[in-house]
Amino acid sequence: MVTITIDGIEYEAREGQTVLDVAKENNIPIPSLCHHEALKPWGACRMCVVELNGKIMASCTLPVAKDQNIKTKSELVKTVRKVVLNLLLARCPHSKTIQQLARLYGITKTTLKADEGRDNCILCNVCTRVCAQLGSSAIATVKRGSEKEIGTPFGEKPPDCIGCLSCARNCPTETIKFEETDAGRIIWNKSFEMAECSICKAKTVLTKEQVVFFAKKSGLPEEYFAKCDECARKETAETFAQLVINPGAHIMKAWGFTFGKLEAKAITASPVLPQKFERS
Amino acid sequence: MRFSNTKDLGTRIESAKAARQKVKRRLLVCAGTGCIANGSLEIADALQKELDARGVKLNVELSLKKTGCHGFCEHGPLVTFHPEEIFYQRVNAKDAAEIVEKTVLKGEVIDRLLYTDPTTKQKVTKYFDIPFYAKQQRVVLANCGQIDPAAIDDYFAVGGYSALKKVLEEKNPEGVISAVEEAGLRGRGGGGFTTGKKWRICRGQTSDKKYLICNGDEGDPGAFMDRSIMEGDPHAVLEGMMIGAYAIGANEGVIYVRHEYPLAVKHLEKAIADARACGILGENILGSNFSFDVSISRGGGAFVCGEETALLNSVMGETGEPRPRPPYPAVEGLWGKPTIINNVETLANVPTIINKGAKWFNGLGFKNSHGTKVFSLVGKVRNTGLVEVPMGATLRDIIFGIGGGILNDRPFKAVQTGGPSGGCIPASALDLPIDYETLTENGSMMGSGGMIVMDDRTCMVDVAKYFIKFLMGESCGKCVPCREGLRQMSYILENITEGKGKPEDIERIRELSVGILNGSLCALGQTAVNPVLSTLKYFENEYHAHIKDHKCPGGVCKPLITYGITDKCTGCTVCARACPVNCISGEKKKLHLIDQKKCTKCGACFSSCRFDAIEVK
Amino acid sequence: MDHANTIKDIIAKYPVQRGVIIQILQDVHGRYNYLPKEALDEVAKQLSLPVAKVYSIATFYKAFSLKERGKIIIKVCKGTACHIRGAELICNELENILGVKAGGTTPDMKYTVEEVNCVGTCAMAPVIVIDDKYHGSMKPEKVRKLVTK
Repeated sequence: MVTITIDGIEYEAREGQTVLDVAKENNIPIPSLCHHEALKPWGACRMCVVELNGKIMASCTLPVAKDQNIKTKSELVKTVRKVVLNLLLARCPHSKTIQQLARLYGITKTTLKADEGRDNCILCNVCTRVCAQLGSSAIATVKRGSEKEIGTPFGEKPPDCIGCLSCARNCPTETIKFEETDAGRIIWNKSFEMAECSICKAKTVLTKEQVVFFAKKSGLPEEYFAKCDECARKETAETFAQLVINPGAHIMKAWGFTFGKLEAKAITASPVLPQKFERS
Repeated sequence: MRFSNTKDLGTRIESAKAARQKVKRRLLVCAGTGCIANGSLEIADALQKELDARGVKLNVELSLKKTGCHGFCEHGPLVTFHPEEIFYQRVNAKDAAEIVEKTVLKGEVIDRLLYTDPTTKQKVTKYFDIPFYAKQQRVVLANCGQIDPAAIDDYFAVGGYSALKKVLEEKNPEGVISAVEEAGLRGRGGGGFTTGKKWRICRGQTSDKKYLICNGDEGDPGAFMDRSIMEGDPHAVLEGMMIGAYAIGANEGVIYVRHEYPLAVKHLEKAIADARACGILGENILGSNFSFDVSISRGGGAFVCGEETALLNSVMGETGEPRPRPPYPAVEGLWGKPTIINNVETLANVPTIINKGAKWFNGLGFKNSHGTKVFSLVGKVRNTGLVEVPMGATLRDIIFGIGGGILNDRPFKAVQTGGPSGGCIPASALDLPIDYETLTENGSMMGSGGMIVMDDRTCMVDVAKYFIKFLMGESCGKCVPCREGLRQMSYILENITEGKGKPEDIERIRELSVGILNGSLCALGQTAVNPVLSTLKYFENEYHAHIKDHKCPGGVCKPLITYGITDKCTGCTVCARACPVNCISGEKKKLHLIDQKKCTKCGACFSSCRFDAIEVK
Repeated sequence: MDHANTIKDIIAKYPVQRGVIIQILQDVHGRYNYLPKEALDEVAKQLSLPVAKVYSIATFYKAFSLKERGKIIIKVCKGTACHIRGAELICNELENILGVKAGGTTPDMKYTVEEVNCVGTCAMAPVIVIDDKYHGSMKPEKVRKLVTK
């Protein structure tokens, strides 16, 4: 444990934490846009800047250290955040997320040249990082500098996209558009069909590509993933019941031993299960 | 010839030195990129042919060699003849016969090929009598232009690899680091961090693997010292790397070279292969426990890769985006292992420090900046080229002493140092000593040593716009302040240079600068506003002239200028013929006139006029 | 053209290591004079890398062109020394002669004009490089002699 000071108050922090982690734990408001709990710190949006020994640092990538004295409300911090918001508002004047954040800093309109007709992407790279983390890497940054954008290879339908929608659902400015119906979805101009349940043939919540992808990654059969909610629930309940009635059975089965079949009746009739679940 | 121990290497160095002493006459043709561009390879061939035609054999007493860059590229192709040190410039292949006939065979000097001092208008015969060279102190560049970079024996002959020998025989890694620390060597590529300290941090890391990277991604436009060193003295870079690797405990090295430098890559590849064949690189170097090998990584063309963490990403096959520090590369670098990244010139200094001693090196220089620094003196200066001087020399020494003053006797306006991260320094600072701290205090920085001289016909707003546009294109685009801030800054400057600026733009620039300078992720963004802030600091009146008076005092910004012909016009018709849109009319020997409606302000008339009769308003 | 074998040969020159992609792309670029889509797909396939990643790298670095380039490549140096000594005039002149801006290729696929940030021959500024041959102390008039439509 180390002790750090944030805005004059001492906090206990664990080694390996970032200043932003500590601030969040202690409800100290630090705005951030490119930070995502499930991803490695990125340090690109510069909204989460704080002051340390007169220097501006991004708190999301700043590891805690003994006797650190952090300021989150200094004039310099405010100035930098305001410039960042002014810049982002110029880039995407119609983004609700940016507008709201800017208002907190007293900015309602950018003083810079606003880009009309551009989408609301702020290049926080959450989408590309989520995509890479899940193992697809179907989208990535294209070009560099002020021309940089998020895109698919050659601007075409991304061959590696599995239609999981993680990019769109994690986008802080809701810029990535997608369409969804019961039968399928469209994202990045690519159409996906939903996989059929391997048991009841109803549409599942996964695309066919997702099923193939998960099966390949995990080494489990595709049927394992191609299941509708109802069948999946049923199957989980059955497995659980088996465990309760005959705890060693699935291990034995995995080891290649076979025992006498259990009565289906005994499984469904077991009164113990639901009560136990309700209690928790 | 594979040396199994340091003694064998020592013997070879001595014999190579002795052989070089025996050579009575040496005809050296510069084969740096600049001279090659002007046909130096053809000259070397022609000289060989002429020697053959006269039955003159090259032997121990007479040699003809292609060397690396002399740094005086503007006067190339260069041919020098030793031991007389006769210096021929702007040589043509047609001159080969005369050079062989008169100079090689009879020792006569060909007046026509000599250099004329622009100040005294006198012809100068000898290399070191030329003010450009006479006032320099060449340490890092000592071998450039003197040896054949493709021949390892030539490097041995000037004592090459004796520092490595000394290190392996006499010093432990700690001793090497102490020497480099004591010498006070600081990084020559940018920030000026103490090299010995950096090495010590890396040495202190426990790891199964460590790397040493030589940063040859000379991205600063206007600087070419690293290119010259890699092309002209590649073994010195390798030797520096080996000593550094020995000190920090690295066994693998990478030289990251810009893809725009094909000749540097070629010479480094040859040097690596030759050093491997000699047992100087590879497993158990010279029979010691020290193993080290080097590979070359060609950069993909991105200025930001000069930044350490972006460079690491590039070497690892990623886009060149920097990452936040800490962790510093010395702790967590290439493939997550402790890594030292040193610039070419820094590493090329290391063998000299070992050979001549830390005290000697420390004695050179000024305050906390020791040794020499190579500057690339370019722009509107008479003698352009690579200049090496001890730290602490003044800008005036360099620009007026070595550089011979401003081109066409125009007034000096500013000198830009430190590349896109640096700033413009005005005439009032000409007498300040050049060291890391003084340059920073004056709104610029040492950077890699670019020194771009500007005269009164340079527009400072245009210069600021140039650098901002450069950086906007080179920004990796990862963080908001740099990516968006430079784009907005560029809009504002573009407007000002087009006469559409508003008075409040100055304030807007200052506001943006605070955000970009403090908020950017890496040094590219953090220093990107220097060119704007320094021009604003010293030349704010030029900004106002553009905004309020719609005038460009430097006569550069097209929308704000007009070309006219004064009564100095002799009616020679050269401008009319140079004009690409045929908008200049006038009879022979009579005053000419520019049709302002048709004029595209291309400046062709201005550059073609020999009577100074074209004016820009 | 057999991309698969060409690229296989290029890849074979390098150690099996993640970092070599940029070196490989440089060689592929050298081989085709640009990076054709099919070649990039093939590189991704053979190196088992996501195409998006290869495309991202190819568009990040300036050394790579994804458009087919002309037979003759004219590089105009836009380094500081060249800028101060009038590189802009050289660019304008090339545009006058060839009718294409930097980054463009003449319709007959003869010339491609590119801007580079510094070729490191600053002492001879302004500089243009035509098919790897350097030409220093350029003036608009000299450009006209060197380049004819």
